[in-house]
Amino acid sequence: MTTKNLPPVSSDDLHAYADGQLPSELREHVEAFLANNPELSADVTEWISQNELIRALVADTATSTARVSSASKRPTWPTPAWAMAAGFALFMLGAASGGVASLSYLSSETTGNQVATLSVSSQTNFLVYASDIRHPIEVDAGQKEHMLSWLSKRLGEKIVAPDITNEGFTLIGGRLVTYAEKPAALIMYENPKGERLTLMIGHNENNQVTGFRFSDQGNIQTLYWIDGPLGYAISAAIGRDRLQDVAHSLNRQL
Amino acid sequence: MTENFDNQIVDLLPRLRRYARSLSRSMPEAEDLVQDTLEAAIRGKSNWRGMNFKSWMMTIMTNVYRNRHRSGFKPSMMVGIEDASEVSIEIPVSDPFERDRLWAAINALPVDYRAVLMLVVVEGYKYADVADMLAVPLGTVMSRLSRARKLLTEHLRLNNVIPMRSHP
Repeated sequence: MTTKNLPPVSSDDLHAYADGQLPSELREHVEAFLANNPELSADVTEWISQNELIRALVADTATSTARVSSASKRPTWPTPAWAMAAGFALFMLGAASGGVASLSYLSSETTGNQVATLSVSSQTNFLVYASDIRHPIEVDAGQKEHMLSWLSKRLGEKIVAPDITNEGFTLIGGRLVTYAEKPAALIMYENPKGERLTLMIGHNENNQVTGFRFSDQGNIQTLYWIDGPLGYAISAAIGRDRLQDVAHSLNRQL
Repeated sequence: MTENFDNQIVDLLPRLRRYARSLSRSMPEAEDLVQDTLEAAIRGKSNWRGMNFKSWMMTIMTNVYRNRHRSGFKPSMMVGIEDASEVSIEIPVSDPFERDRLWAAINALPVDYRAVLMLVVVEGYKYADVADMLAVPLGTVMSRLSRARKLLTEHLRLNNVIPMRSHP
């Protein structure tokens, strides 16, 4: 087969290739073309990966709400066939009576919305407590062991206070705060310049593991992540790069 | 025929829900879309002449969805943190942050682009079928698909990668 006899590869062909809609006789031709066009090839790879992510996301959202909302004992979607038929009957009834029957599948949107409050909570606690010159903490670093056993007991999880002196921050103490309506720990550090940094540790009901996420509110930067039963968030006003360095150092000890 | 019509709708509900979900910002919004589509289908029942029922329903849903957005419909639920959020793209979609990020990118798509993308990617329709369903030329389908992908890519790239997880 010579490429001479084949039409040039168009953008439509590339999409068709990514979507599995390219006629089989053109596949080889397009693959040869992509082999010589790394940039377009990267685009196509990206589209294929997007396709997979979108399919997984839509499928996952429809099924994962069952997991999420089974905890909250709410009707879920997907629904068994009999319930769908019932829902449909309900709908017909509503339509017949001129009203709109509500199927009311109220379920949590995504677990992400819940965990996103981690960053907000961390920022708030930083704002409220780190700015308090005289009473930023309840238990000071001199009683570190006592503080950690107290916080561990209140959270029901082993809490540690990572050592980030390499990053210039020394522990000044900690306090009990609330996160997601439960006790949470706020551990505070300070550097010689008087800049403070807080590490908030709270419960994560959904027990996932996430990547690190960054948020910037005003001049406060927050990095937050979830690791199994606990969610972590660090906040400070030291710039993103430095905060990230601290996060690296701190995460290795958690 | 009436019984057949109703049975077909019930059989199709899971598919309709999935497509509705792919077009909506939230589950309640998707449920509303399903409901409005069913209502429109029942009202327009006489227009169905035994043609591919699934495609007919998908077309109705697409139209309902477009009309809702055209008439100033404002989704009630917003995805909140798309502006200040970053996470590594390698993280699987089960990561709730990553799911949020992807939803935010999808939610930012114009209505017509999103419908084409979902009909192709999630529902698996051929380009020509999508053109028929939406009553637009094939070239329009292709340009909407291409634009949708470009916008998705740009939106996702706005967020930098923080590859800390891979560190020991």
